[in-house]
Amino acid sequence: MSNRTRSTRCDGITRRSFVRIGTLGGLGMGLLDFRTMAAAETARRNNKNCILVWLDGGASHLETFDPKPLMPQEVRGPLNSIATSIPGVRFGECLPGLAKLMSQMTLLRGVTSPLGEHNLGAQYMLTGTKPVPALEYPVMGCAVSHLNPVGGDLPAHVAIPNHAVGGARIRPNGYLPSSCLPFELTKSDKPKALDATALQITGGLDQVRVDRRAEYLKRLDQFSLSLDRTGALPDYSGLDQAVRLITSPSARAAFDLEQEPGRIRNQYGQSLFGQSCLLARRMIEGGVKFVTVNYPGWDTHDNLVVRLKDGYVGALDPVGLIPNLDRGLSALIADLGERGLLEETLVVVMAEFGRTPRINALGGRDHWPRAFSVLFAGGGTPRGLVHGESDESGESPKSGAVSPSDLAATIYSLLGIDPNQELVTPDGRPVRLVGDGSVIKQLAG
Amino acid sequence: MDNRIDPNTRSSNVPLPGKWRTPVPLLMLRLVQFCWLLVPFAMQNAPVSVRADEPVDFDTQIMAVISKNGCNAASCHGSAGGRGGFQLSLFGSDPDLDYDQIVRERQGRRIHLNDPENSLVLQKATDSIGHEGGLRFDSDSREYRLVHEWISQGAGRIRSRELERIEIDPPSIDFENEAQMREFRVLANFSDGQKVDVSQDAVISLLDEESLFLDGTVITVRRPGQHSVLVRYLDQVGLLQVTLPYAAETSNDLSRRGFIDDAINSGLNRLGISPVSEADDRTLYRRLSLDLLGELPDAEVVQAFAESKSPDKFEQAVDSMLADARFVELWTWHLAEWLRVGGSGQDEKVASNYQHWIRKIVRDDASLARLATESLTATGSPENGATGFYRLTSDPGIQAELACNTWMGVRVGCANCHNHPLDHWKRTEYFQFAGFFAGIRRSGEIRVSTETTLVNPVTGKLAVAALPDGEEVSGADPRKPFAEWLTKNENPYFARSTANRIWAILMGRGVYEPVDDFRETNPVSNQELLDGLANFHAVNNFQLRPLIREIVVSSAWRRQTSIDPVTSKDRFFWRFMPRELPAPVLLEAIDRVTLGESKMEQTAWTAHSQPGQIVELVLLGQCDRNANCLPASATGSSQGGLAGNLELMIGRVLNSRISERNGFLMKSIEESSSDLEILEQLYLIAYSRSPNQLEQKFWLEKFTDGLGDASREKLWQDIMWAILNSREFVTNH
Repeated sequence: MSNRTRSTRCDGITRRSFVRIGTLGGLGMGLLDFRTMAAAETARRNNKNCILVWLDGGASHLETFDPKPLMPQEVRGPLNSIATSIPGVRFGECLPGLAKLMSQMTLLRGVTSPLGEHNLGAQYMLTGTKPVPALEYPVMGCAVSHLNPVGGDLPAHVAIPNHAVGGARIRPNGYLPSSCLPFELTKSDKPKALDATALQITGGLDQVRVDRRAEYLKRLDQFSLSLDRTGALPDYSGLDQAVRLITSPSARAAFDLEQEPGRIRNQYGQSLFGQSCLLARRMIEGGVKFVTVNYPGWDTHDNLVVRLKDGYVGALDPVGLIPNLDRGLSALIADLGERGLLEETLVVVMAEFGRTPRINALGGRDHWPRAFSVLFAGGGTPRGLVHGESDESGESPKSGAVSPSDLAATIYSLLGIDPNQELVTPDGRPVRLVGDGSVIKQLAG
Repeated sequence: MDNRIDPNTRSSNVPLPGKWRTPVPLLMLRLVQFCWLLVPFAMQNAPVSVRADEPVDFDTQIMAVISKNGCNAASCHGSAGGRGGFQLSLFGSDPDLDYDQIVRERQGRRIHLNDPENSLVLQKATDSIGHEGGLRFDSDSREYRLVHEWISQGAGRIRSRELERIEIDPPSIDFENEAQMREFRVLANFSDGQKVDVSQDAVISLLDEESLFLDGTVITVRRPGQHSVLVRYLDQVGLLQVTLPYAAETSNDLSRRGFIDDAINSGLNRLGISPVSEADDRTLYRRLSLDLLGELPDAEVVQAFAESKSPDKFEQAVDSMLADARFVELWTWHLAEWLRVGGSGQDEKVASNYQHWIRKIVRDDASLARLATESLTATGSPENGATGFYRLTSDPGIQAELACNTWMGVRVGCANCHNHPLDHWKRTEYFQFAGFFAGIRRSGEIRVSTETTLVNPVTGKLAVAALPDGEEVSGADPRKPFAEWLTKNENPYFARSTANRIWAILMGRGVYEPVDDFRETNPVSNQELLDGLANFHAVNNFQLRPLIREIVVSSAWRRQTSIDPVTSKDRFFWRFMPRELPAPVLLEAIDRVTLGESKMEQTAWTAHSQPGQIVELVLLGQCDRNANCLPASATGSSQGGLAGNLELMIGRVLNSRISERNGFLMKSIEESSSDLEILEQLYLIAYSRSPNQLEQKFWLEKFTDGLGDASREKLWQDIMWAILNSREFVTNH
């Protein structure tokens, strides 16, 4: 940070800060907090924000939100369960933080889907419509950013660290234009850190030159126009958004986790997931409407104890998936609450399916879409509600069964979007935003 | 019930409250409002009415009511699962299903034979019982009386006649101004010889709500141009063309160089559009070079062309380019896009053989008939490149869709599940197409087996291959007769759709759009042009070079680009439409400007049959070929979102080329070229022209005396970046 050159204008906004090559540092935040700038933006909007935590691979419901302590070992698995702040409701032993918060959240235990394959299951859960060969549907984040476009410096839909979900074969925008694609921090599928590599400025360039390039481009087009050489001027909104993102100190600052006090960073945990949750909070504060936090690795066909609880010996971060999940998510919910953002931010935790209620020969569980769980917090969802339940072994929904379409309809509804509205595909076909789903009244009634 | 109307009198229906707004004296209205209470008696006197003794025909009358009132729309009972437990066929494509659902399902609860008024279908339609779909027709409406009468007659299916075809009278209407109102009628020709006016029963809609206003069958035009009214009656569709000229008359002399110009010019005359004049030599040469060779032309060559006094220099340039090896590479790429080389997970070997086969044919006679025939009838190992066509899917239905889309230019996909709502393709025809490909075996070798398992769900039996005219095809390899039928001169699809596609590549848009959606209800902007192109194409054995030549030497192709906010005129080809360069052409152009030559060892379209895997090409808009790759339209392809724009601005692809030590910019600076020299050379290679006075002044002003070397370098880099992203560079204009 020592190379930071700070020169502020009288309104406190730094304009001529030079960026160190290859890092996001050296930004010269200036006197104006990026949150204040975005807050005005956010206040204008009535619609809620959303943080979708995606447990890619299919998180086992029996080790997380729907344990079966009374069943034999081969069903209940190697881990124990603990009480939550709702009497009678138990979580897996690795979720003490979330267990305490249960009385403030909504849990659905009767979610059911017919699709047990990663790509198809993920598509169904993320789009709300059962995948068909004829048409690709947009994921909720894309539809939200398309229907409620924001004019701020940050993109409307951000994916941390990326949107490589369900085997990374999903086109998130579906039939919507590519302008609503999520902004991914990095294309790498095994990122080591949360640098927004997409924002890294390569050799010799700086924000002044970026502005200049955009200006020259527009000037050239105007010359051509006056010479009647090219027809109408193009739409510069894509270029402008890129320039804004690169040159806006507040936008770039939003991506800079180094600006958070160490205490806060520790609260979320130093895992990639924990830091992703922290970054998600900063995105929301910066005006992003929909953040997808992609947490991969949950396809645990083998070795539950190591992968879910203990982590690998000798790994950089020898912690299993669930403790990381618990720490990051609890910190996020508490932090949002403390900052007064929880009411207007819907947090959803889901996966493409659950896992078999029977341990397999490898000490793991396989795909199981017939019954699994989804967790909600904030965004106006009821506090301390458990809706739906699975049967005694977690195999099928016993009551309150909801489909992925019902879920999507509910989420859209909570975000202030009508799930039954009709959109139009590029070839003119009218299509409903969500296929055949009903809003779950207990959540969004 | 007698629907006959004397065509010589204006239809004067009994006025009813609600939908039908036919002008009628108030007294008559009051009389009817009183009379509806005496339904059976009043009906006897109304000209269009239900008489108690006239049998109501379910298939032509009740089905029409269901469609007209939106009951079987996709958002209602016509949807995949029906609504509220009541399923109808989408847009009435399956009267058998609909009859069952209405009369027999739900233990016959939906109709009440002894008390028709209390039939569920009537109660719901009139919203007397809660109906999510709301009020569809009033209880004193014509529809109500018809359904009521049908039920009281026993809700039978008499099948008294079949619909043969519908006519729209007149088939087109030319307006002179916006104050006019004109009326049309929909006439149905039935199998019993009757011709009936079914205007009230047809579903009439507008393809463009802004341009026309429709009141029943009375049209007013709101905006100039050529518009369409879509008419649907039972299972037939039709299009009414409506025109209002943009201006009273065209002012310019219309230049013409062949049949293409004649067709276009007559359209321009009809629509009152004045075309712009032809572009200058430099612009034309750049265009030719990009469209025929895929490259920016050298400054000296452009100079020589501009200075030449030879009267047929343009045609000579065209002929020389058509014979060039680079033409082969570029148009192999266009065909690879068309045929989806490398798409749907084809591996490198298959894709490369597939492309190689295309190239061989393009180098030779470039006959599309040959490409179609060889690909459709291909067998054998991947070494036979033509088999690539069969390595895009293993499903006979999808294979049929591919074949129809690629070579007939039609989209039959909808018909997989139901009769095509906007075209004549029936569900059974989909499976007849699939029947041609049901016997394909794809393990390593492509071969045809006579044992098939594909069932036609409409007949319930094995799918039998049949051509659209109904002729069944059997034999060891049914694909051969299909290919023969397809490539006959008289085939209504092949010549038109392939010619239109080539037209779209060269002109920026097709004579109909999208180019892979040829159907009755997709309006053609100039039928004379389309037919002329198709004829020429067929007569020239469907070869690429003659058709391309004919198109580029036309006056229409040589026109200037121009600006006009009224983009609806573009369909009539009054100007040259600028369009974005295809990804490999753009990359080649970028390399040419920044490095002086192509950086890739072999240009994108010679070796790389899977261009969707090359980062630079993907960034510049390359289609991934997992779905159709249509020619870039004038509005340009979308940019790949925020990430794409960021990469272009601050990422490696452009910047590494711009700052390359051995590249044009760094070398020019090293060699102490002056700023004016650098500017001149940049413009000449990027735009094929010199900067004018204003441009020179604007740019050179930036190079002030005090500017250091490092800053000068950066300034040039930024100017070059801007040029590489400017419209004049990334488009062919």
